[in-house]
Amino acid sequence: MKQYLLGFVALVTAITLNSFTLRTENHRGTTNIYKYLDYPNDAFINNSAHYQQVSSITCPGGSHRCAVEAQDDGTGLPDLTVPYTPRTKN
Amino acid sequence: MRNIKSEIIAAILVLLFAYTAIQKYIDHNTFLLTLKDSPLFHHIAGLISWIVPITEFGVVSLLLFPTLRKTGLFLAALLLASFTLYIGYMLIFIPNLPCSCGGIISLLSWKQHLVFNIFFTSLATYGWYDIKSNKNIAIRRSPTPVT
Repeated sequence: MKQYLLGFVALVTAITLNSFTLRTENHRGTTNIYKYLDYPNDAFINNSAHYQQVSSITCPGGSHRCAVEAQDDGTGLPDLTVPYTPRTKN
Repeated sequence: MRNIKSEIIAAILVLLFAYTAIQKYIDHNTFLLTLKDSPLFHHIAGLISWIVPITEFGVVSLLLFPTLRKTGLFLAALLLASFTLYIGYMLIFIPNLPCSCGGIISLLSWKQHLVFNIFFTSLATYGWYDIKSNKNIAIRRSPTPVT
């Protein structure tokens, strides 16, 4: 049994260490709807800081962007560097 | 006869592989997303995200049992060498480096990670070689059968 001891101690230590490792929730990559805060001014549509995540949105219509369906960049803002869907109506 | 050196090396590797495999399993989504960022594996990220922790658990199982330890050390060295090659490739060819490593190891920089992996690859190789050479000595020392 002695020859198994070190290995099992190491295994238990690994499990214990995992219990003490802090995990930060990462939402990066999930697709959400982000409201464009400067609607109907299109000057900042490529700046992710001008968006806010919402659960749903109804756009008034027309040619101006009111929201995007995009992937989260990990900070709660849309990742506009990867393909996303702009919303102008509904 | 017990080989204390290889037992200690196996235990260190069990700790390393079990810790990182559990991290990758528990935090699977983060591991998958970082693999998707990798220019080498983004198209097979889903598959790799399961193969790596399962292989690590497999190596841990082999290392735990003395009769399978030699194979475990060989596979551990092979796995660590492939991680080292991956890190080396990324450091040379890729400007923006995503980290798909687990837990506290993700605090290391890529260069530190390379040194860390080279050390553990050497350790696993040494452990495997030690068991192999000890077995050869034991065979040579065993009495010849009386005919």
